[in-house]
Amino acid sequence: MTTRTHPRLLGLVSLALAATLLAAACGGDSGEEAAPGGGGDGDGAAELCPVDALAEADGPVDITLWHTYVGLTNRTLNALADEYNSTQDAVRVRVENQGAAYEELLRKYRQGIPSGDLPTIGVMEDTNTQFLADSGTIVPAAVCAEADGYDGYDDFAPGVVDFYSVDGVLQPASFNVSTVLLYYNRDHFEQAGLDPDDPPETLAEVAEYARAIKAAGVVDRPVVLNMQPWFVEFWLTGAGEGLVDNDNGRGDGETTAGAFDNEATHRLFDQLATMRDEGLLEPVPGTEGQFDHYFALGLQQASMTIETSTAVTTINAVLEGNLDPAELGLDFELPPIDINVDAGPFPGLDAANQGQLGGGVWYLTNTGTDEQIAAAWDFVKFVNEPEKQALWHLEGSYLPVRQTTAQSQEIQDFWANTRPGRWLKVAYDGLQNVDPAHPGPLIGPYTETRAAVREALDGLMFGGRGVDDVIAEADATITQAIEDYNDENF
Amino acid sequence: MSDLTVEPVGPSLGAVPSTRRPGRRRRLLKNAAWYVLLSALSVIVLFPVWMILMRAISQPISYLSAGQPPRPVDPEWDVFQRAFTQGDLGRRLTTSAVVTVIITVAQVSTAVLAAYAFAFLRFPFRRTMFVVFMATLMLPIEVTLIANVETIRTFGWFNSYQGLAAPFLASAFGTFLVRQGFLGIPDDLRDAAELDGFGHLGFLWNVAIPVTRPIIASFAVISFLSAWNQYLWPRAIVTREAWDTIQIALPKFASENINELNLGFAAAIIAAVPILLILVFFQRHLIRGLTAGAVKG
Amino acid sequence: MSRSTTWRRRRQVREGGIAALFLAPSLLVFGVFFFYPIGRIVYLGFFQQNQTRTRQRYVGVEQYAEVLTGEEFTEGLRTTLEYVLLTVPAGLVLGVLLAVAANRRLRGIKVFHTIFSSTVATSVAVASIVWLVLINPTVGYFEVDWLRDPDMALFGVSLSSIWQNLGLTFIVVLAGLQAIPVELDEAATVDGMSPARRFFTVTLPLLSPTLLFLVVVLTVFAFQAFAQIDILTEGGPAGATETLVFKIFKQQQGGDVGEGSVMAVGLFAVTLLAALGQFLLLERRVHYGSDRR
Repeated sequence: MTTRTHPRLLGLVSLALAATLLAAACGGDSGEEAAPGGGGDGDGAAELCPVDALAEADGPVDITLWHTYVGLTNRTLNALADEYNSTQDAVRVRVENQGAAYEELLRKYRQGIPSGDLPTIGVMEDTNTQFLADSGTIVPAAVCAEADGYDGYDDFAPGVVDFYSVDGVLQPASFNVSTVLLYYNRDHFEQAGLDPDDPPETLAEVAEYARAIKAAGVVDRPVVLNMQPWFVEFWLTGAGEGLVDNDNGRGDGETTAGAFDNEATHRLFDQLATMRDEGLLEPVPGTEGQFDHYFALGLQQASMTIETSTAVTTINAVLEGNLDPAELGLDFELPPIDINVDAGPFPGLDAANQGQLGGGVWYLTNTGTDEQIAAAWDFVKFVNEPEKQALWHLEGSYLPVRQTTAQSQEIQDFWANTRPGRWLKVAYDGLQNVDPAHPGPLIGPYTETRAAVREALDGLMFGGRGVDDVIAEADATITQAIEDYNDENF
Repeated sequence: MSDLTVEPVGPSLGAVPSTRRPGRRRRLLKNAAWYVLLSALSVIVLFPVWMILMRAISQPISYLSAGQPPRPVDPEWDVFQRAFTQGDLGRRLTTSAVVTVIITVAQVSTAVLAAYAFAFLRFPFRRTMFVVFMATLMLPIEVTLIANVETIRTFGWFNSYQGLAAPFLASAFGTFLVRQGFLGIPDDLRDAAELDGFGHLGFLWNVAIPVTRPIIASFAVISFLSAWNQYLWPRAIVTREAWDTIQIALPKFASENINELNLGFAAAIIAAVPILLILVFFQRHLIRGLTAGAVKG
Repeated sequence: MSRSTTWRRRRQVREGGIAALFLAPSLLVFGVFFFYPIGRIVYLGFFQQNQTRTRQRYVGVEQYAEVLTGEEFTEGLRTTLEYVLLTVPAGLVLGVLLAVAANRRLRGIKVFHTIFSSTVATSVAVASIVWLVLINPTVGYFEVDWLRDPDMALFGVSLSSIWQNLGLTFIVVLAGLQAIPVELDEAATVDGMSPARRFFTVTLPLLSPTLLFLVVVLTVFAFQAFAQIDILTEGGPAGATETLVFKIFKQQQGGDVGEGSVMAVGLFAVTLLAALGQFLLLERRVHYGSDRR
């Protein structure tokens, strides 16, 4: 295992760094970056995150939360908000779904910045961190924790806090963490003479297994892949490479150019293209709400797919039909389908579980009133309680990154006794493997960078273009985006 | 305007007797052949609708496993009700209906007023003004999208009825259409009205509008249809789910329920019903409106 | 003479006031949402905005040169024109086919008329969902890969438009057919022309104004196509279905407003050119018969 920093120590370090940054901000040399709402001069954390304002509010404070969760996760979130709303009178949370894709939500958020038409809490993709920090529209969680004397973050897995920090300052206030799993059809493995208890550990092994399955005539295209650019990010991070320079945006210097044109990207793209050319891989376009790959697996047209760990519940429900429908909140019987799906660790480029974190994180905005900021912080503390975090895991498939939660008997039982629990344990173990020194990219123009990666992937898989060509073009586009970003934040 | 009869479903064609009388047997055979052809074409046109209906009422996995037959499999008749509740379709339909009614009423009113000015009033720069009006026909909302979204933001009208409706409160097409109708009013009718002491408002209300009512109604139906079907504009200025119109909510709802695909299809069918009713009840007006431009525009 | 002129002038002044009142509501809407925004996008085309769109700076006419000759714009324009070619002729032919087939005296023909015009009742969103189901490779009826293949994706999307437009084209062509005086057809029959020859020498020329109207309408629809693409492909795969309108929307949503504005100005220019071309064609090629009124 990789080195692990003591969580409490890490918490202290990040708080110290937060204080340093605040001092700098209040000093006035980067007033732009400090919250425009707060002014910039004042007495530190309590000014930026007025946690006491809630006590002074007359009447309940209304706050709005934007998210993109659907299905069970949506229900979990709403249940949490309902419980919170019914157990106290000071705050009323309104939960608003903004579509089914993080990118859609980010677009809406960006739309709202000029007019300040923003939610009080945005549950957005973790990759937005740098952009949001630069936008001056959010209150870093570390600031609120300091103002409030809150030590809850000490209990979270260190890799998680690292990943979501900018210059050591924790930005989002709560985390719905997921990682990626390989879902595979055990029967197909057996029919091809492969050991279903020993799923492929690397992408190259996935190809090997697929070759065997195809050769055995089990299915025509054994691997179906939703061509999401963020898989590329996972593979690259796992291989120690990145999208941009300056240590994938996390170094001490300034990020100035793309670093996408590297050995790992070439290896990855070569492997994907070869698999497709050999007829082992069926790529499906990574559109919002793409479901073809789920059905390809469910209808046994394919043997393997790679997807987020939060898909565990959906896959289990859609494919196996052996869950109690009531448990899923469905009021009809799912027909039993005779299909034997299992989940294995993310097949990295060089070894299993070489990936990164993904998921949605909770950003507190600073555009509301003092009372609203305080109310949002209060709700986040409620959501961060270990039992609530357990609910996210049991019902929403997000990983229990709060250590108390992971160690609880309830979660241990869930892992030991249920199929989705077993799968999620695989994902949780994968999470422990993430290298805190290399947690993944931190990029200001993330939208543009991801668009470039998407274009490269699409060009390769669907556009009939060559590996070198698409990588070079994407790298140039990323460099341009970073230059514009550094330049445009004039 | 009225020298071409636009009544496709009318019986007028039957009025002229055929000059030749082919054998009865031969005619029967020929008719049978036409019925076969027309039925075949109907099947092709309706096939997509039928397929989505089957998918809506069938249990999705069973339906796929059964090889997608053109009949329901394990039907779930409550699917429409579930789609309605889970997709909050009542609210979406209401939003769409309110916006559509606002737009239709406003377009008809502004178009009638402007058409009256162009048809009956003399004022400087009348021709220029008319050209200015018609120029807006060259300008689809897509071109001005960026600036209009900005304007709506400045007004603070994101997620509001006024935001959804504002750019569509006037219509050059409607103005043109109603003006054509007004121009068709015989001069003696105007003179008579003047003798009766009607002012402009009186003439407009008591004579011009009643006489051109069919044209106005046709325009209203067209206006309703296009307002109901709007997609790009609400997509751009609605940032809160609560304000989603039915057209926006529909694809979202379908992609959110991949483990119950039939819900999305049921929602699509529900969304089509209001327009289907319009088609049934206002078919004549709708057809006249749709063909208005084709007939010597 | 002079008295009459004065009277007319006075009347003009009085009526001018009423006209201003009657035109004001429309002019207000057009001013705010049609004419001002044209100026605004031309202006925005000279600027670049920062990421949060809170500030902007002048970059000049270069942005126009760069964007309008750039790959994004030209590709978008090409895709848009391709979409016109995919949807307009097919829509026209099918509309004529249905209308000709249904334009006859038969018992119950009204039922067929209703069926053929029924797709008018579908919105673009509904039609897109319908076709998503029909041509989806995994769960679709036709197990085809069109939406995953850059060469076929636009065609796949166009099917939804063609089908949805059927009702409109049918209604319009049928109306056009029924407006053709029956005597002409009868005369041709008496002359012993075959039905096919009759169609091409008598019916089609008389139908030409209707068909050109449809060409205009369907072209406008194709230029504006957005929902189909947004729902079926989101512009993909590999950007193969990104029309100009789609690109403008993308820039408006999360991209570069300046660049998007230039594209919008470009789209406007293309729309004007197309309108001009169609106007000339209509004037020259179509015989309209007797003048109105």
